[in-house]
Amino acid sequence: MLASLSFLTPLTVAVTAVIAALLLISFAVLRWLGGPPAAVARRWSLIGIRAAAVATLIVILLNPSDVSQTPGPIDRPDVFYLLDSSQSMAVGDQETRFNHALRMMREANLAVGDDLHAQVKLFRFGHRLAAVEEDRGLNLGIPKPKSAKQPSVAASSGITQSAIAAETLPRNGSTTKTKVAPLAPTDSDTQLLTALRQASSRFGRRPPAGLVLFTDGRARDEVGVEQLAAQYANLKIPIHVVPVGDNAKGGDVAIVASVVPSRARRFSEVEVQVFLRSYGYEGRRCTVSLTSPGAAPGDADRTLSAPVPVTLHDGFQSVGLSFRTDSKTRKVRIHASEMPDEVSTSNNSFSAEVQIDRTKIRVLYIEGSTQPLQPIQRGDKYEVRGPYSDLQQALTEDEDIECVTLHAPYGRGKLARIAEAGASTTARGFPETVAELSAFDAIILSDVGADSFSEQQLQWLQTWIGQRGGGLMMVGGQRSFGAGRWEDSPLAEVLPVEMRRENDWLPGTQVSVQPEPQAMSHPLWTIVADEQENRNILAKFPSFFGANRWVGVKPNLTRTLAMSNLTAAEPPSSAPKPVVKTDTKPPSYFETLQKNLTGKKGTAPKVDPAGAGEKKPATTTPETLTSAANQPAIVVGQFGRGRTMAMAMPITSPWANDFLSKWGQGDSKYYGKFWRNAVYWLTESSSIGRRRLVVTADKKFYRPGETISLTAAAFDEAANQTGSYRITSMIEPQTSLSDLESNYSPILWPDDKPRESGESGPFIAWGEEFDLPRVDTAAGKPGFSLQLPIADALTVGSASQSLRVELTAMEEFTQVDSTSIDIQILHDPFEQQNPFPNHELLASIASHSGGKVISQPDQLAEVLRKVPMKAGVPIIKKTPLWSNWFLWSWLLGLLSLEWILRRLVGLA
Amino acid sequence: MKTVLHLGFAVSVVCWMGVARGDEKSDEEFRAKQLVRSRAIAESFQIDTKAGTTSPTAKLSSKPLLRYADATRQQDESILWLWTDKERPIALMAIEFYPKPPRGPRWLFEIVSLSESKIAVTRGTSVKWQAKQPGFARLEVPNAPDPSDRPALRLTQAKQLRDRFTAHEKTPVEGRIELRSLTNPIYRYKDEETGILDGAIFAFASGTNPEVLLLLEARQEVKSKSGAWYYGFAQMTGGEVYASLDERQVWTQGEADPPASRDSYVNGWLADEVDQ
Repeated sequence: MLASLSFLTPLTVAVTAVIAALLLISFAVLRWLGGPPAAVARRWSLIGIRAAAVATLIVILLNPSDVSQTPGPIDRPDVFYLLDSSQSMAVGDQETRFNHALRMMREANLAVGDDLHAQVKLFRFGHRLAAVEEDRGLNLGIPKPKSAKQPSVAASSGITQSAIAAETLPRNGSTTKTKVAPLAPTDSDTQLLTALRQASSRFGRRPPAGLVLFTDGRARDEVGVEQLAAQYANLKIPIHVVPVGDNAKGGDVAIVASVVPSRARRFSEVEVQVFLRSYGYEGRRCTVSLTSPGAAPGDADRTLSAPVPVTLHDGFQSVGLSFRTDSKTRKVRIHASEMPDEVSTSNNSFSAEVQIDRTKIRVLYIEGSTQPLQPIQRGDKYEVRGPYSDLQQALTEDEDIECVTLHAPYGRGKLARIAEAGASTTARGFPETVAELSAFDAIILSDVGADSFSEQQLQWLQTWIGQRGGGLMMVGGQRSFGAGRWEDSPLAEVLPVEMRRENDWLPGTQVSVQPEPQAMSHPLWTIVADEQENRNILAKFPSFFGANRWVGVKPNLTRTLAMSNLTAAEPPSSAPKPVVKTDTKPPSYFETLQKNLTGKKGTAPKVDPAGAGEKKPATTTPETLTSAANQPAIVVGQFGRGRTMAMAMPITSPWANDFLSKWGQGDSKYYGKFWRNAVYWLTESSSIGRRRLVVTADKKFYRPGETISLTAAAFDEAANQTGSYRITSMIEPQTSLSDLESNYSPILWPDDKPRESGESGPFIAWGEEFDLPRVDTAAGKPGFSLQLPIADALTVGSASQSLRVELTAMEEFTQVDSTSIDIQILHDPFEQQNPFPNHELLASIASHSGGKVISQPDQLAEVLRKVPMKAGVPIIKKTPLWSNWFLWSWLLGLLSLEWILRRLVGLA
Repeated sequence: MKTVLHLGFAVSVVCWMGVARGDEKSDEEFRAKQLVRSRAIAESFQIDTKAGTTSPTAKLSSKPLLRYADATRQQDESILWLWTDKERPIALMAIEFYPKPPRGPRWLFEIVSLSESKIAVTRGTSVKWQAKQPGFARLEVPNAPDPSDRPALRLTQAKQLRDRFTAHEKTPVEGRIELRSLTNPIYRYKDEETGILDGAIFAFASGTNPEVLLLLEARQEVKSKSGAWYYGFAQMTGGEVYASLDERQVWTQGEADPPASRDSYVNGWLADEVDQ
């Protein structure tokens, strides 16, 4: 199809007329000289053919041509969109400021349609200016040049492409496919002046037709922005502004960070440090609460701790909360109550997850009760049940607790280890080494005297509790506390009660126990989750026969969990008579069992039920002790790193029959839960003695510019603290590598430390190895310590950064143990200090640069439409039609036809 | 009399200190001796990567990988040894000393294959064992990033992948024992010929006693240069062990109370070494 037909003859009209006149004259002269044609030649067919040939020649002479015209290249000037990507742009309820800005862009582009006169280039700014790829999840619909027929000078200049290429270089040398994360307001700083300066370096051959700023105007470097805007005006580059954010608000409360341990042991207390920022509510109160989201959608949140009231003051403040873990990994939600007319309520919540550390808890239970062993038939097997069986079973019902039971028949003699099905062995008694003792987390002493242990074993126990965080519980009995001569042992210092220096066992006493109302929040008393039901259960806490009566509760680091009233009563009929040291050997384990199996006595000496044959106690129980009200019954305390618990009542039959079997019915027996609660509480500070490298930091969280003080303790096979290992460490990120902004951690390499990794920068590279030098503790124990300074500002644009310091103990080239510690660094960025937008600054920028304040998409569309667009010279292509084969074939055909016709009619 | 008492006290203190130092020294000597014994036991074993051929024997590493003790099992001075082919791990051997009855005093050895072929273990005429399966059943780690170009960052990647795995053990007496992962790999290797950019053996331990081993390998196809992370598990205990990836169980091995052998694992007692 022809674009357009034109006759482009090189002949002028005059020349054509002359030629035509000459041809007519020539024709007339020839006719006059030659006379008229022969009759045979006067045929209309011949004349027609010849006329057509002549007409064709005339047409050729007129040079008919196909003329097509392509429009010249359109030069669309650039318009730079500068989008604020700082965290303050995330503020907003129904729509964040960031989304507001994106919506403006989207709607303006729709309004412009095809009438776009500008080449829009998008940049983000915050910490720095950076080009934004169009596929970063923005879905802005910024039009591209329509077709190759209309090439854009700007688009072909490669400015944007090179900028984007610089932004999308694979980070950290990774070969991973570059994943472009959606653009989000994450920068912890807004440097508007810097962004405007950096924008000038992005100009192409020609400066842009204008800049459009999408921001809330809250910038750290406000000074000088107006002068720079005036310089833009000199360059005839207006800066249009799109202010976002609502000024008519009361203020804002936001939770900016929290420190929550990522792993915690079951039923342990977890401390949560919450960092709150508020503005505009000085002196007013809000509450911070801790909840766990419901398991299924629609389920109500579960309250983990009572809301903590906080008096707000403008700026940064921290709040401490705590909760107890249960058996499952929990997501926790920290929430600050909403204040009236907040800028945003979406930042009032913060979420974290606490995983459960299921490291086995090992309990050493030593039972000295004189109660006989009982053979019990289960199916075709016999099982021996002893006085220890109930507690052993209660603990091992929890698969995270292991209970090793030692039986001290009659509270003295060699401790026998109770194996499966009640079989006992004396081959393994009390731990023979510190290492073996350290492998336990708690010890329960029931009705066993101090003389069952050597002085060295008691000394080990004291050290194990005080330094490794072991838990100790002593329960009542005729060989417990004062009656067991514990008052002069090293454990007297450890226990939370003052013992009498005499026999304090009161067998002829009925003991009614009431949990202390002020101590109901103690984890020992959490039998069931429902508070009301729990109170009912505790109100039915069973009574006991017999108790040890202490002098009192130690004043420091102790807490009384239950009180008791003692009433004189007859001891249970099956209760053994008071036992004191005799020279007579007590019956052995096998003798007792034989007696119960056969009904016959073994070779054991006769134990007179009336106590005949036994020596009388050295000290007798004063009658005045057996009846008393408000006596401490369960007391907890702390000794060094360890926890202790003293329970005045015995826990075996017949003294504790109600406790063993009547507290709760059927499967709801609360005895087991009570004991598991006790063990979890006692072992909360245990450092898990099986570990050989333990690391601690001096703080839970740090600020930029502070120094982390790391201290490590290494233990040899015998659980003795040692300095003979080499402790290597490295810093690892907590976030995925793809999210890392830098190959370097925010930790500075210590000044005086030699470096062997080949790195030379000021910061420690992720994964770079360094040693912890040996620095002995103040007490002279071998240890390792290092000070690690944190950079003054975080390298990434975030308000907090978490990292992990990993340590390995090496013995020459052999690994002994490795462990790690999480470090949380919290920043206080300017960005979050004032949530209000600064529209005045933006208006001033527009005014100084000659730009407009744009509040509606139509206004932005108008700006884009009015950008002066230059069109280049069109390209005209002319194609002469006579050069076509069909024209010459036509002419040749006419001449051939005329020749054939002439031959047919007989002409020459 | 008072002077005599003071003198006596001073002599006692000096004697006690002497005994204490003597104990310390004897402990060190004992440990050194146990290392020599353990090495001698390890050297008495021969591990071949291909049974029935004259292919090179895997080489025992000069230094032990890990020294540990497990007081919960009354187990002292235990050492982990590695056999390699170039750098690649072929087998790991744990030699554990049980000093007391009922198990001791005896040495327990455990050998687990980490080879991609079936290994053969011989120790004179007393131990002859042929693995029924290769030790390292390689599986790709789902949703893992491509291996990094930088070795230090590959280690970080490996640790982050390791965090997705958990392991536990079940024993008749102690029940379920959740194993903790030692933070750093106990061995790292590479083999460019076979496209192994990086390999790491991580241990899941009870205390410091490694019970389950996790192998993570970053491999790159020689032709396509495309890389991926692979994992495999190995047992280092006679107990029943389980491993999970992203909370889904992916591997388990049944109990193997010594002496016992499994497809790629063998253990046994060596009573004859105690008095050497």
